[in-house]
Amino acid sequence: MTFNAHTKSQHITCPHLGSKTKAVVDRLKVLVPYANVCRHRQALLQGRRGAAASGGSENREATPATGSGDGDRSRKRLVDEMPAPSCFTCHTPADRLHACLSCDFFGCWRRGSSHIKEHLRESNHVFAIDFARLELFCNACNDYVYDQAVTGWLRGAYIRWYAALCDAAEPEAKRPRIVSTGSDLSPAQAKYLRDHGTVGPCAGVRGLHNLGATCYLSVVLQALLHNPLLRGWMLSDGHHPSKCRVGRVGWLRSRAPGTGDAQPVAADGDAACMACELEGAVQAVHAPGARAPAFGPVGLLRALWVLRGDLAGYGQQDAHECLMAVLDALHVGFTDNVLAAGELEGRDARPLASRLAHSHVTPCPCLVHQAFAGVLQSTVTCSRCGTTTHAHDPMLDISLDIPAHVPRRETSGGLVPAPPVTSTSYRLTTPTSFTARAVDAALTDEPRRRTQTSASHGSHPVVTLQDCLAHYTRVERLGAYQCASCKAEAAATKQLSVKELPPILAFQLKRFERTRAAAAKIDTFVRLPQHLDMTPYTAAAVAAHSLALSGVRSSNGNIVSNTGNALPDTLAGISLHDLARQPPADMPKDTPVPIVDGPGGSAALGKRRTDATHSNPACQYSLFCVIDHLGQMDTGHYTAYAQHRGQWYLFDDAHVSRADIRDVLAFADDLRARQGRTSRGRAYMAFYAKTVLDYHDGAQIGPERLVSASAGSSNTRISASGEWIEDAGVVRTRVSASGEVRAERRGRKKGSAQPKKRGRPSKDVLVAKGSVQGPPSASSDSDGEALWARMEKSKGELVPMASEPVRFDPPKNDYASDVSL
Amino acid sequence: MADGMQVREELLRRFIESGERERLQEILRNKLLASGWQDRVKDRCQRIIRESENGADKVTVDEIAEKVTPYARAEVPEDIKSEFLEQARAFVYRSLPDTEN
Repeated sequence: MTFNAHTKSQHITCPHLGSKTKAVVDRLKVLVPYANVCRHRQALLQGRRGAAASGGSENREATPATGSGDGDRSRKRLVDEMPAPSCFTCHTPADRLHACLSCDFFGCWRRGSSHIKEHLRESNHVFAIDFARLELFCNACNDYVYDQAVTGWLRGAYIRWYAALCDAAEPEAKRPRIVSTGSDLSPAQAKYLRDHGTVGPCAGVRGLHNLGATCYLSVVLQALLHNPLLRGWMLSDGHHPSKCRVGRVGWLRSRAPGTGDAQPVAADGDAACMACELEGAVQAVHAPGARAPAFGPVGLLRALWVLRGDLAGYGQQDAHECLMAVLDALHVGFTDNVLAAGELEGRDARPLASRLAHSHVTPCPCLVHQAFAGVLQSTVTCSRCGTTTHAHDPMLDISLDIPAHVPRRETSGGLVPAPPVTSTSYRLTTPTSFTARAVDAALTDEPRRRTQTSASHGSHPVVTLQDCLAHYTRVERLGAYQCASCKAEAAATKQLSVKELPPILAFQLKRFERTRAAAAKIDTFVRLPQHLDMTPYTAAAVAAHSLALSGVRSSNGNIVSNTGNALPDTLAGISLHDLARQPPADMPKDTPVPIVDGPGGSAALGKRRTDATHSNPACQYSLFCVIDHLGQMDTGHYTAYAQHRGQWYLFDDAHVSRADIRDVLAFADDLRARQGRTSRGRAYMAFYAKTVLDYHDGAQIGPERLVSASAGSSNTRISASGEWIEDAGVVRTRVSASGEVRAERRGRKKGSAQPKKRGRPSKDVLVAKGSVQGPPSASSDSDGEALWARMEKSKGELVPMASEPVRFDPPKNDYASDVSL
Repeated sequence: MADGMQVREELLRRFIESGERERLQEILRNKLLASGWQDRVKDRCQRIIRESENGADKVTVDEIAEKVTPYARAEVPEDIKSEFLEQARAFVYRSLPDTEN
């Protein structure tokens, strides 16, 4: 079946939008900046540039674009003083406000009585937008609609605000950028491929044969094959055997007359290139119309054995160790083995690696390191003189200990009391009948009623990934520490944090405990979240937190005041924590005061960090792969769950089956753990991908140009589905020696189940962003961009398995991103 | 009661404009995320859509909200509920004049 990515008729769109699209977008240009300011007011006020919305020059609508300090101040004032809208009918400022897109009307939306709907009906207007969530409502359809053009525009607007919000959350921070893959395609070729490509129905989902206790390799491979960055790179010829020192031999042989095998044949002797083998595996998995259901990764296993003698043999291996070995070998394949253009023509040259000047400071530009490498920061504070020293270490993954016991989630470990509102402007002038006592009575009435309904669920603490991370970044005491500053031996504290977050976060849960007597497997259930916010574990958040604890000075030297409401120029953590220690007089007696140090304090500290810092949009991650280990310490089996085009699959060696998120996150075990019954945790590794990717627009970037690419333009991509780079629609090109282009397009079969317009759960429960389609408006027109735009365009759609009945899977989304309080 | 409504509005306005809502929203989001609530409710919504009689294309947001709300309410962990009640109470105390205290 031919699929044309541009055939709009195949999308379910709102029939009422049509010619009104432009008018709607024009209205949105005014409303979206207003909505963003209202929603992120405090976060923006803390930012370096105040209403840094002007960080994107496109946002002139919101704020006068002036670069000076005066401009900053006026922008800040603008943000500060912009009034919050309220319902025109009942004057409530909350309750899911919607803005009419035909007039100035704002209306609330409560179940039963929706003033915005009333207004639309009476005045015969059609469209409204959810003011907090920015979703388009069509009164004629009586539902939210997801039109390509409008959602595309909204996505572009989000990207422009993304930078401002990142900056506000962590001023002066540099977000590492990805260098996108190059492509030799001309726009005409790209268009031809786009229009004529065909797709295998289940390309990309294929089991791997067990070659003798190699399930450890199977799961690692699946994790790599479904890694959006790696897959995108491989599918756009990031590493091709024809340009590989090692793989070239086999590649040339395979092209010799008589052999029809397109797969690279292993090179002679004991040379092997992991990158070439992975490229072969990607080819095999994505081949359209593959005959055999599973594929045997013989070449990869051979490469692993050749390159890593310690892993050779038919013994059972550790999946994490295997991953590290494969990544190491891939790094060599992506750098040392790549031939430069000059070498291809027979001229001898130094290996690429030596020409790529990278040191400890500039990270390795190879894909493995671009995708996985982050920087850890270890902060040591001398307890005698208070000097802190930082040490930075590269990391490819994070190995987490499973804390033995979770701090009970009591109020004491949780919230920091709000900063007291001292300024009189927030004091109300109210009728005397309406007093604090009356409100208090009303408030206590409510929960009691509800408690009865939910008490049955039990609330045994469950270890979460966030707990493990809090444990990982806890403050540790060092016994004897030789301070460089005060030249004395003193006690010190040490704390780990993440200085630089990689696009792909790999976690290992250390389930294998080696005590002196024996080795045992810890089978504590660990809850994995589908979306992970890494903000509290970043170096900036940790620093803000410890600053708050010592309560000394803010970074600009001003003494942080212990009074006053929102302190616009200081970090949230400082004001919150300082104020927390002095609960205002009018606080109720039972207001919890956080205990700074105490039993289980470290994990509780992690919790409070979460509370204190504004979450950074650049630290948001989505789960895309989980590796489970079943069985005992010394013998067992690995399986993997991985997400492919929004659908989860269970990969058990050669067997692949559809899976549900409840299987992936083990809801059954979660429930048992919450009820205090015996539960078994199986998750061993988890892979998260950043939801928004910062990248360099690297059209025509060859490996040689990777280093200098930092001079190129930069941009940001947002993902609708948690996969920013979708292989569907990616073009495979083979440029032969004679220069002819042989290209095949691996697109997708268009399924009938389009997650385009769905009923969307809402009303203080969850909000669905929908499968946003269409390219972001911030796109350039270079060749590379064309390829990216195409990748963007074709994602977020579902491909039903050909043989199975079409099943509905709601679009991936950033649900519950806004809970009405 | 007109007075009460007016005060409610005014309280809500203070709640939003002082940034308290933004702050609590963020904390609540993180807590619910860590408690697994978000993933469970999302899963429930998917099932509601899948099992809807009118077909997945015809479900509206209101219908899903109607069906999922009781479940979602009950799933919110007790400790989070009481924490946020405490926060709401503290905010009201801070905002209202202490006429009777």
